[in-house]
Amino acid sequence: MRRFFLSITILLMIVFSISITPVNAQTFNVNLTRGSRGTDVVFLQQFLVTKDFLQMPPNVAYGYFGSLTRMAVASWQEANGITPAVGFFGPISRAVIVSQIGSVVTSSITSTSSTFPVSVSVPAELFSNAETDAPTAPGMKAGRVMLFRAFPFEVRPGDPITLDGSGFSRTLNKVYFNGDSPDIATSTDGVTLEVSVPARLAEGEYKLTVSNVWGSSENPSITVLIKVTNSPHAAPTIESASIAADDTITLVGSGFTSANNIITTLGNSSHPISASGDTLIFRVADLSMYNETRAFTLGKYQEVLWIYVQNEHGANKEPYQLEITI
Amino acid sequence: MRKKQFIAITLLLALLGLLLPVLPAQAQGLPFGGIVSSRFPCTCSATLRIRFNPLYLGGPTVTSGALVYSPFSTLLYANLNIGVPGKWHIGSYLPGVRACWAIITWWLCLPLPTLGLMTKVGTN
Repeated sequence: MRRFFLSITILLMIVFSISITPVNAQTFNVNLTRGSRGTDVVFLQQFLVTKDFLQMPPNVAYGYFGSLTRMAVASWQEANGITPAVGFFGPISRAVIVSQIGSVVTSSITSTSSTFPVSVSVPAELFSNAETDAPTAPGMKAGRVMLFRAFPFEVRPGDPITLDGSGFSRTLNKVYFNGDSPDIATSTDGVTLEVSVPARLAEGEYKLTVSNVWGSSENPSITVLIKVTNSPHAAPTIESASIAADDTITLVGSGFTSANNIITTLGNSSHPISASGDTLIFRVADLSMYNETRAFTLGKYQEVLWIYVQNEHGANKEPYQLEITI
Repeated sequence: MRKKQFIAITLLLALLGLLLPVLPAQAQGLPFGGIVSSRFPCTCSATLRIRFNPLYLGGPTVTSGALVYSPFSTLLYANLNIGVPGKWHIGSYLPGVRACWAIITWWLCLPLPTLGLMTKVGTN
C-alpha cells in the first residue's frame, strides 16, 4: 500500500512539474552569418536594435542576415571584446549574448561542436516569439505589419494619435513620420498603437509608416497621413440622424464643411450635399449601391445604414448607425 | 484493499483529467446562408465584403447584411464562386470581427461595417 501511494505521489509530482515548465526559452542552435534567415536572425536583430547597434531601415523586414546585420554584429563584437570582430555570430558570440541577456536557464557548451547550443531564458520584451509579440488581426494576412488609419487627422505637435492596423508588436514598433528618425511605440492588442506626434515636427502633412519584426507597413497602395498644425480642426462627428418619408437623411453633428463626402454601407453619395456647419442632408436613393441593392430587397428589408462623413479635416472615427427600410 | 486502490486510481485519473491541457475548441463560428447581392473590395485589408439579400443566420428571421471573406483565413469550398452576385453561399462566420478596411480617399482607410468574418464558405 505504501508503495502504491509513493507511486501516486511521484506521478503527481511529474504531472505538476510538466505543468510549470517554462515555455518561453529561446534557443540559439546555429551559427548565424551573412545569408542566414529565420527567427534566430529576428531575435538577434531585435537584440541589436535594442542595444543601438542596428537600425533597421523602414522598408526592410527582420529575419534576413544581410550586410547591415553583419556590420552591426561586428560593432557589437568589437564593443564586447570578441575577436575577430568580423560579424560572424558563432559560439563565442552566443555565449556572450547569454551573459548580456542574463537569467541563464541552461547552457551546454561543447568546444568541438559546430552547433554549440545555448539555451537562454530571455526577457519577454526582448526576444518573445514573433507571432505572440505581434499578433495578426483576424482575417488579415499573417506575418505582416499593416497600417490603415491614424486618428485624428489634424493634430498639434505633442498630441496623441491612435493608429489602427494589424501585426503591431507588443514590444517594439518604430513609427516614422515622413521617414524621419522613428519614435518607439508598443501595442497592447496588436491592432492599435498609441503614439504622440513628435514635438519637433513643423506644420505640414506627414506620411506615417510602422516598422517592426514583420518589416515595414510601407504600401504603395495605402497612404496614411496626418496633418500637423497649430490650429487643428476636429474631424466630423455625427450626433443624430433621421430619415424622412421621402428617403432624405438629415445628419446633425459638427465639423461639416462645404466639401463633405458621404460614405455608407450602401455606397457613397455622388450628388451635392447641403451643409450648414451642423446639419447635412442627402438622399438614400443617391447612394451609389442603392439601385443594385434595392433590386434584391424590393423595399422589404430593415437595414442598418452605417454612415461616415469625410472632409478635409478627416472623418468620424466610428460610423453612425441608422435603421432604414430598403 | 482493492476497493481503496480502485477509488484512489479513479480520483487520480480525474485529477489528471483536470490537469491535462485542454485543446481549445476550433472557433467554428455561427452558421449563415444567403444569396449574394453585391461585393465590395476592402482595398486596405485585401479582403472582400460580400452583401447578402436575403441572409439566413440560423434564426427564424430572414435579414440582409454583409460578411467578410478573407483569402488569408476563410476556408473556401466548391464551387468557388465567392462573391458572385446571385450565387448561394453557405458557411459559418465569427460575429463582430472587423476585417474590412477600404480606401476612402487617397490618404484614408476606414473600417467598413459587416456582421463578421467568414470562417468557411461554400457556393453553388
